[in-house]
Amino acid sequence: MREYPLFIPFEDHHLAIVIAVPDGQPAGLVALITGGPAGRSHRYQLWTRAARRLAEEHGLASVRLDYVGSGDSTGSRREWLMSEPPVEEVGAAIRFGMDAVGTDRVATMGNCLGSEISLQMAAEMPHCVGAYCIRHPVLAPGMLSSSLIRARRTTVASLARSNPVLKKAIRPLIRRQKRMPAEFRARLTRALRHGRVEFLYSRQDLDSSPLLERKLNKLARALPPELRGRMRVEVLPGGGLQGFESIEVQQAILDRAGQFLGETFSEAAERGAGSPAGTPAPASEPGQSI
Amino acid sequence: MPIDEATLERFRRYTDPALGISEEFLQPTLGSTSTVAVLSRPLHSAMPLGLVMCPSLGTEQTNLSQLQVATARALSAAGFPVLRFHGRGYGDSRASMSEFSVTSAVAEAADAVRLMSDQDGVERTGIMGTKFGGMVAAMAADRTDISMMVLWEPVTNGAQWMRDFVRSQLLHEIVQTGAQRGSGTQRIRDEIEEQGWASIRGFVLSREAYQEVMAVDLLTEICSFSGAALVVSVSARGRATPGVTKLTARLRELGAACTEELVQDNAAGQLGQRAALVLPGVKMIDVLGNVAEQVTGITISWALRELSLPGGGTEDVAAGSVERKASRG
Repeated sequence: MREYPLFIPFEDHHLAIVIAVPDGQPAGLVALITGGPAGRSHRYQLWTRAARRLAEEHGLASVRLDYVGSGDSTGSRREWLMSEPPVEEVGAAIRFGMDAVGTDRVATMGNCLGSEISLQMAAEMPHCVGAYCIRHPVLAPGMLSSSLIRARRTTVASLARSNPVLKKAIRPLIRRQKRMPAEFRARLTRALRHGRVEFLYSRQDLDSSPLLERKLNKLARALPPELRGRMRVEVLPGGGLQGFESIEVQQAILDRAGQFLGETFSEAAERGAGSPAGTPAPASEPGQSI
Repeated sequence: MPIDEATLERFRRYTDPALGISEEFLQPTLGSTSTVAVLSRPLHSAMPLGLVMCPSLGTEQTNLSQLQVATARALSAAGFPVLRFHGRGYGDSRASMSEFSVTSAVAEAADAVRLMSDQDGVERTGIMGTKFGGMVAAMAADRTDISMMVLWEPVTNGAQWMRDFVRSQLLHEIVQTGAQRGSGTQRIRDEIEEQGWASIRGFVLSREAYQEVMAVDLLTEICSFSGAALVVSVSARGRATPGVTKLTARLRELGAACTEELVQDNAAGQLGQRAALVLPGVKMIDVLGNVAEQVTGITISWALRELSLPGGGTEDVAAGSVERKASRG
């Protein structure tokens, strides 16, 4: 396999990306999407290792990127708002990668905020055959929680925190007021119409948020029958999925994601979704269009 | 369809006319391992001094990467070519975490210095690093003919650093499970001894790395460096950390021209510990931006001053731009 570290233009910036390519013709392209300022290789080289295994074991190319203001990409970003995921940047990296390796069969893999971007890309790209979402923040703060979180730096909030009785009364409100946004359900449904989606959580994630498990189960049951089989929720025993701070968790992610993506591209090839190698070579600059 | 390598080649480099720099991806072999590096260069009138940035270790490396990139670009905009690279077990390096050792890190740094020295217009090469990377930079400078080094809050006692590193795993276990497995640090030492490695918050710490880091005492390790050194202490208090003060004294004892500076910032304790403050479900905030600006400014002033001194290579370089007071040993 070979790797190409590149700076690609994006608006007024340059995104640092690495395209990993298997020795033979790629069966497709996987976008590896971090959850924030972790950098394109992610912690403990997880995305780098994933890219190499996808190339060597499944014949898949991949693209990993630094967002604007992180890693080697240009620009600065002092704040990362969960409500404003850098979807356009990922889209630019995917388009460049698809053109560069000559495929329009693509899948996404991300964690945390990156998994939300994965799902958004899967919903928006008709050629996306799958999305692997690690620890997707499915539940968003409700309106009351959002207001309380926004107000946490005010004098009133400071006074409330200093009062044990008020603090005790407010804390459950912040924790309980969570909802599954309608946009999430809509995106999932759109993504499932042309691909597969798998969510990965740890047992600890679900135990600490029973509401999450209930909502996911309810969501799966509410899907149209033809889409239900394309969504899966995988649960790793124990904890440690946040931050990938365990060797066993890292290994499990690489194994399960590799299996999911390998199967997903094989199935897509069988039903003729996208094309692995039909796109002509870029005449000038890759990334201008899908 | 084969990859159009010629097209991709054009995207290895970009220029930023506003900042006055270009950056280029390189894929060199450093310390016998293929990795990825970025060479930042000023677009106009480059100084004859090139700087190499040594990466750190474990999560510290991840947490410091943004500081490193911002610094490289600021230094380059000020006229200095700067090389940064991914060390073993980090980023795009071909080597895995278990292949890291102090020996390998120093070898990578020495190879990176050679790579920088081969660049057009570079007459001298300096080396720099933060925290663990500062320790590696100092060791590499002492063992080679590098005559200039910049250390930001360097680790001076490997054993202390390793104890904190191992404790972070124990704390992680308590947070994850509510209880600690076995008898703390001794259990991790036993794991390293018996299986040859241990997981420290997801980092594969090999026996070799553990033993080598534990053995480093920078105050005795450095025994021949007599060049120019800038040692910056980043502290929340109004005084330099004890390790930095002792290192400065040691360098002066060896005859080095050592400048000690202090950056006081409330976020000092976050240096290497975390890259962002997370408000769950809402946002992440960069916590080291102010520290980066301060230490970078100090470093640029110092480097310009060093170049303007006799023997520094350039007699008339921006001598008037140096405003900070520095004590020379």
